[in-house]
Amino acid sequence: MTDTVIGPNITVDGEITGTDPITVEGTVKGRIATEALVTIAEAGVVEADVETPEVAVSGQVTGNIVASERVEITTEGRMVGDIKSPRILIADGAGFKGHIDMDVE
Amino acid sequence: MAESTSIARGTTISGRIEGQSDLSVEGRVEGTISVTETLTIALEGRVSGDVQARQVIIEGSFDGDIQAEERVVLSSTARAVADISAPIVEMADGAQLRGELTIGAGQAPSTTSSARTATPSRTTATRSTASTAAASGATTKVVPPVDSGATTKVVPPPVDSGARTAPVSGKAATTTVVQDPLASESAQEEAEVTEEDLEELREDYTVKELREELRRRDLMVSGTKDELIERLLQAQDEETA
Repeated sequence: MTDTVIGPNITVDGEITGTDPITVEGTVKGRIATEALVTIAEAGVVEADVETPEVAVSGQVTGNIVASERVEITTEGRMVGDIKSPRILIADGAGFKGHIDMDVE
Repeated sequence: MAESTSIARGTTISGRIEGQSDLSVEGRVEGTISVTETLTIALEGRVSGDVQARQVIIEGSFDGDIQAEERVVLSSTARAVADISAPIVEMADGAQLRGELTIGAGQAPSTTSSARTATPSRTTATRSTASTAAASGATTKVVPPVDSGATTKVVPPPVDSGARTAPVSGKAATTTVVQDPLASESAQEEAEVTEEDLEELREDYTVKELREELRRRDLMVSGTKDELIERLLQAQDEETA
């Protein structure tokens, strides 16, 4: 299955929903909801709420993340917003400001 | 990782997508797409909304408006309910389309403009022989949207079939015997300016510019270039009436 890729020079303003993995190298504003991994690449900018099992943040996120499995913020990642997920990884050097809730039933 | 953007089969985007790269849609998009390169709607892709792109390739289904700077390609699997406007439209055997199709050289990039002005217009060639006399004066005139009496008296050929009385049409001027020689001369000149204006408009204005003019007047922007010109001239006629 191919992934959905929002390329470096693309801006999506609205809602992305579905079942495929999504990679954001460009800009997404609005909402992302999928049933697979969401990757925000280094150049990626997400100003959206993200609902997905797993998120990897290497770019910039402004918004809330609700992940049923796992959230990872890498060294390059910058995030402002709340995270709700049972597993959260924040790498050395990552930026984060917001609330964390790991109590998911 | 791929430079271009692709919307996979299981993904739906609703909203606006814009940017400076290729976009390929295998999933669903509802909303506006504006890209400077090629939009490909793959076999299983579904797009509904307005699209602006340099090139649009449709293999899947589309519903909405397309404005392409270069070309639109409807492959054999394409299913489209669309108003399409592009300089080049390719349609393969088996493609299904319902909607308005505008294929116009007027939307071509500016590199063709010099060739465009050099091309003699077919309509002028077949017009009456007398029309060359006043032509030199008329051709140098740039036609503004609303101008002198000459421009306002322009009557598009299909409309002047007797319904109108006041303006002098090209046909009437050359066939009617008028007592006053001065009046007939001025009438003829007027008619010729009219023809020339029509040609001028066709050469000087691109379809895009014509559309903008029409849009300013809250008029329909669909149809061929000639229809757009006709509509614009009619509107000018009514404005000054």
